[in-house]
Amino acid sequence: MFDALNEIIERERLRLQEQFNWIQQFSDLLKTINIMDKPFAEPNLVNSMPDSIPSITRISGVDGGVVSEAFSGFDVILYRAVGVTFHGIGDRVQAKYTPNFDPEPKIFLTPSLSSRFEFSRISTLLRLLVEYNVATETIKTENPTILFLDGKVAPLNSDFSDITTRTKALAQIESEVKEAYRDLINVADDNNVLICGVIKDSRSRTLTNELIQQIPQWIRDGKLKSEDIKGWSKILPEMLDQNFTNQILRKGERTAWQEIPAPNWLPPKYNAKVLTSLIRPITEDRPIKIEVLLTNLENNDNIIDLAMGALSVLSNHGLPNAIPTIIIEADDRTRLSQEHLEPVINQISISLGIAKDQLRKRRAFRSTLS
Amino acid sequence: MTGIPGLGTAVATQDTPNPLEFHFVISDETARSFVETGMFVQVKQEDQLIIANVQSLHRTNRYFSSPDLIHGSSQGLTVHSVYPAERWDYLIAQTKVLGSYRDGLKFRSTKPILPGSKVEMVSKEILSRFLGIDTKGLNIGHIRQSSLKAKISMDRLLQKHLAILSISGGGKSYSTSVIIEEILLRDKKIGRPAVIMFDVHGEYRALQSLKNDSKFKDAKIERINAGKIKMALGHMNPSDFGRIFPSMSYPQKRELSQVLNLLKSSNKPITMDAIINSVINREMNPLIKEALLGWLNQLKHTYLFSNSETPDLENMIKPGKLVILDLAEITSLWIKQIIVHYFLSRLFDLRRRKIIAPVVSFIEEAHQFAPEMESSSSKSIIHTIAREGRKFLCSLVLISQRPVNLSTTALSQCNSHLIMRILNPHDLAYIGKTSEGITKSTLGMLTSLGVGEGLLVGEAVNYPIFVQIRKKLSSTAFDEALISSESIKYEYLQIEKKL
Repeated sequence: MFDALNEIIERERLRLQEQFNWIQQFSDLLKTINIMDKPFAEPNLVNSMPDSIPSITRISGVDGGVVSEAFSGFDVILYRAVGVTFHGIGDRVQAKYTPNFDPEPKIFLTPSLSSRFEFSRISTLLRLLVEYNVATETIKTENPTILFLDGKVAPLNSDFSDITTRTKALAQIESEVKEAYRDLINVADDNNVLICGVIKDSRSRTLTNELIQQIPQWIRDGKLKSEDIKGWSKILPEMLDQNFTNQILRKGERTAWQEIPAPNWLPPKYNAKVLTSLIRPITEDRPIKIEVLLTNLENNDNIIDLAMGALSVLSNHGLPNAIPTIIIEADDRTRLSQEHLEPVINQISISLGIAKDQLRKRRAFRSTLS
Repeated sequence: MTGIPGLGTAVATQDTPNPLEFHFVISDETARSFVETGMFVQVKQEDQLIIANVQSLHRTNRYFSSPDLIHGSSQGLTVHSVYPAERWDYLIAQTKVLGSYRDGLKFRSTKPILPGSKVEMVSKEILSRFLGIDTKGLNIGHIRQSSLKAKISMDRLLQKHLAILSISGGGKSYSTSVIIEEILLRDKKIGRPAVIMFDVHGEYRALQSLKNDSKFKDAKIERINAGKIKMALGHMNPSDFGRIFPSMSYPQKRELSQVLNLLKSSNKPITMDAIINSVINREMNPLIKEALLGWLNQLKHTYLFSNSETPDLENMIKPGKLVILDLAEITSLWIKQIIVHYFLSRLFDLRRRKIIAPVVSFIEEAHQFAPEMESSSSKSIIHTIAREGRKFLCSLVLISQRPVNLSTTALSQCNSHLIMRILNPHDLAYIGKTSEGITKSTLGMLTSLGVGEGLLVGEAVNYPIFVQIRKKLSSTAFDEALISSESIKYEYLQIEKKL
């Protein structure tokens, strides 16, 4: 049936085999020499992670949930976030929840948005908005040392719309998100709290792209011989950071901290910079990407070590999944589904006197003859 | 209704809430510590209360539900060290809806409760009214999982007959003693029936100790030893003989009937010798005569028959009086069945003619007197009273450790069942079929009941309730002896004899 399939599979197998062999050789070379330079903050590409954390350390995790549906004439978005604070890690974990164990979702109901893009973007921004608000509240009430966000440590410039796509509604929410994030940084700074982003299944090429930039220079400087890393210019551009590090990192290792640009909409007074690393807390799952936001924190290095220790412990939870339990817990408390949306739709349907299947825009929800 | 402790929150599952059941989650640590199976709970819905009974409890913790996680964590850190596992420790209670309650009345539940509703304990007052507790009733103990006294209406408990079922040693005799005590304690102003106990093993001798208790000053207790029991032949008719000897043929009954009629019309005392002589002297088929003489001689040698009865029921059966027929010394089941047949027939006849007070007959080892599969001279009268006794206020309390061997006809007419501990699966299945209102999970709980705990179902209460039988007031000196203590006594007696 699929005549070309065997051929495609064979071609892919050969490519992967070539990648595997190359990375194997490259990682062996990296172990012997200190070659890393800026923007890497450490000389070795592969470093050990601390494997413990004092049990008195308070760690928080924040995650948000969103569920949305477009209807004839209006759109509905439900969203909420929960902050979970652990203490007693490694001993007997106790948890506290901000604002509470099962917060009521907020409702965003608007006349139909102009495009799918706007609808999708507003959903994401509302989730970010409530996450940052809850993160700020969590720091104020629970006073953690480290706060993990599920996802990137800060919104990227690309998370905000440009002048051509920006609508009034988007502009309003974008402004609120930026304000909420600035509040979060202020409070984190005041309380000396490190903010980290935990990114699952990242598709970034931050590390591999940087290696592509640096390798020619290393060859020129005589740090590497081109014949030892033959094929790099073909292989590295095809690789995600996660695939690359899946082969070079063993359990308890991380890549060197690498500085990436901080969001340009942050005021200079914060001296904000973002460090990123890929970490492998367990053997059974691929590495996860970590970002930390450094502003004017004291004892940055110590706190980052604490964060790595916390991730080592909290990701070793027995399941083949490197996500730390604090994020699993927050995700579980905040997750929203169609079930949460249904009572809202029922109420709207009753108030408007319009049957639910007539309100629904999507054909999948509407009755058909077949 | 204020100040009622909240227990948890009703949840939506695939099939519940529905009008008959709902589940609720108990997260609060204090509530977790006192919610038990059998407990009564309420949910406020608009203007009514939905009353339900906790059928089962399921404790869960999502962090201990994955074998993978437990296996994985056992390799290094424990679950508690990385997960907030304690926070996820909670109970799920599965309840059976008993009905709704509004303005002092109970109704059938027809709508499911709202998921998310608060589930509370039921107040004593409402529970009492809802279950049909009678403040003037027999106080047999307290309702388990509540502080409510199990005061059961005597009329509802006994008028349509009661069955007390349990394994041996499950507390049948104990709870029977408590019920008898309560009947004897009743003031005559609120009505007190006469009580007769067919005591097969002499287990109720201890009730005589109540004579010395000032609380029982108005009660009368009389124990008749087996050796003194006599049955009056004048009160017997040929069909009674036919029940004692089921193989008696019609011609034999006819001849015996004519003999008895002649003797009765002669106004002479009717004794067994007189009947036998009449048969000998009467002309009849020699084969019939031979058979009749054989049976009559067999009865003669029981020494139970006379021209008058002991106890004299007409004078002995009085309101608030207990008569114990102690059959412990009789080894023959056949004879015991004859005695039960005779006295029950007499009681029923006397009650039909309203000559004696309303009477409650307690029959120990009822499966021996009304067996399901075998014939017995006493089975027919037990069936008759079970069917018709209600109308003549002649009640039965059937006590048995083998319900499966007890006549279905008799058991099905017992509108209330007090079921103590039952282990045999056949008995359990049988009880499930014959006792109304018992759910599968309730049936399962019968195997784990402790001594003195019982399930009361049927006419006596509006809904099945678990009862902890109260401490009996009569002496415990006659209660079951232990192997060890009796062995010691025996050895001392042997030493004394030698000395």
